[in-house]
Amino acid sequence: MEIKILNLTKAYGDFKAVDDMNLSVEDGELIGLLGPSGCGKSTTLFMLAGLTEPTSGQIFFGDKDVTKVPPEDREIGLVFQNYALYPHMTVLDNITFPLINRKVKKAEAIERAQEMAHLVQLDGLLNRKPSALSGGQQQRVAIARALVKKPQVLLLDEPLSNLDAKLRVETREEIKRIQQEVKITTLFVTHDQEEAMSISNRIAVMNRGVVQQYDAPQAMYLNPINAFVAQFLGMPQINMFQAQVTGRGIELDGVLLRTREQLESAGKKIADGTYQMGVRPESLELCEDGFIVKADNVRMTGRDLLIFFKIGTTEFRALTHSDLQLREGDNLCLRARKNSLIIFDADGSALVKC
Amino acid sequence: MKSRKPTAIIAEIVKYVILIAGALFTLLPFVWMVLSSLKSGSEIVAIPPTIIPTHFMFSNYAEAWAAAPFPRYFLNTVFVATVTTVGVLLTSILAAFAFARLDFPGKKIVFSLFMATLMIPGEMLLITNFVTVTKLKWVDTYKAMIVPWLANVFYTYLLSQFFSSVPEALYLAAKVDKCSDLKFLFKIMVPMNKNAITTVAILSFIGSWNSFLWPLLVTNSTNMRVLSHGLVRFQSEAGAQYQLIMAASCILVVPIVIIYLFLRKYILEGMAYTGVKG
Repeated sequence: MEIKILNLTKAYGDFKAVDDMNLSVEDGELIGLLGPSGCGKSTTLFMLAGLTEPTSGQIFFGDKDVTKVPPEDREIGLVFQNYALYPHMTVLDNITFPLINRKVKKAEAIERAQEMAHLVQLDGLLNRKPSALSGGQQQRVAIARALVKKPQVLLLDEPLSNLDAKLRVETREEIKRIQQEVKITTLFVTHDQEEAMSISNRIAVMNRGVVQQYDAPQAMYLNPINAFVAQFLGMPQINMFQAQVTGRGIELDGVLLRTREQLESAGKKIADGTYQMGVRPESLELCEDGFIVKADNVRMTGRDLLIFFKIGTTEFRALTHSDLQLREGDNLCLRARKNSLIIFDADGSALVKC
Repeated sequence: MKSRKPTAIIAEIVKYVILIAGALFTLLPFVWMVLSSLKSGSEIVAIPPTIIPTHFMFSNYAEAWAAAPFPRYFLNTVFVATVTTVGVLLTSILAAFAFARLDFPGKKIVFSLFMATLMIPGEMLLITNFVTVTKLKWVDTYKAMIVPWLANVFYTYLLSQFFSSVPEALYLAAKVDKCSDLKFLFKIMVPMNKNAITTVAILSFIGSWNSFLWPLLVTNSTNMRVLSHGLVRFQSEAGAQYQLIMAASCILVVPIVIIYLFLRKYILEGMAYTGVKG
């Protein structure tokens, strides 16, 4: 089912939770709605579900305008952040509940529930109460309950936020697998950029009710449209700093990040002046002919070595491979990989990469 | 094993002494009632009083049972208490749900008015209710004993507090699952709060079972009287026959004790949640 969101706005008094949002989702896509808390992503999800009434704008499922359609008739499956399982009912009763309400015969409802339980790998747990299940299992019951009525759209509100780190990685793969198996158009809300990037076909990054960028994860990570997106994606965060473009190239406190020749040979024309710039920690690489910095701090994270250093007063983080032998106070020679320096204009919009 | 500080042990002892004293204090009248019901008429007024009856007069029970039409009283009481309880549960559950979950104009004002009525003493209501019942010509009917007690502000308030604590997401999930408000209430809200509802049911049933003044006011004929009125039978100008009153009292509390034993688990849990005293 294709989804089209047209000029959707939700205002609470003067505060616009969602501001003139436009988004289209193709059939079978898995879309992540990503943003910090209070950015309007959950409000958007609840408007899609029909539980929150939009102030203005329209929502289309396929060719049908569903803006005024009540939630039970929208053919959606909704999974809540805290799963919202009915605690006094068994897993089976929870999963059959939407079917029984739709006057499906009991025998058929049970058969479909069992199929669904098999899909989400809950076989053998059908007679338990939700309280006797782990968080991950409860999550899968909630997904089974959402999918059992064969909805056209699956909506998930922060589906992984109540799980511990290891389970989170497993469960997000599980969600992806189920989504692909059922081939259902899915939107999920998350504030975790890694979660969004790892399973989404496309991500919509939101801030203050406005969609900042809507793109495939890799494209968005490499080409953030503005400083907000650049900072929101990536862990550890992108290094942001104020640097000068001068006749010599790109300069920061006497350190030359790009020479004029490098800029010209790459065909990048930037007017002289001070700009906000960003460079990702993994784009800073060891080399022979770069700038020399002193490692203030070295953190071993397992896969990587995270190095903290300063250029002038600006703090930077660089990621290198964990087999590098380096101690605090050691000097090292770094450069910013080609095409990794993102330059923003005064409004924070990305101007150019060099 | 963990070694415990002497102060902790003393605190524990003091705690249990107080608890035992409290338990004895609560139980004593009950035990006294049972023992007295087995004494003879002369022994019960004897000074100094005996604790254990010298002769166990089980005949008191037969005599008490025969002294008044207890089977009829019993039926009346069971009927009135059951209908009142079912009715008050229904109205309280519906009203509590409305206050807890639904949005309607004037909700806050209506709720405040509801709560304000809690401040009105029951005796005052007795008079106005009596006038109403008389005007409706309901005197000496079951209606008179039941209808005035079919709504209860306190139970409504109590249940609405419980209903409010059920997460909103469950309501929304049920909505998406094509569940109507009424269905949500009885399929999800009520089973989820069965302890609180059982507590309300028990409180209502006991209240109705023990009520004396109101049924006495609105009934005239022996056929409409309830169990508690039977106790008055043993008082005459010549004095009261306490051994028979006690025997009748024992008969009166037995059903309540049995109900309690069956529902003990729910009541205790319900009380623990609410902090209501029974």
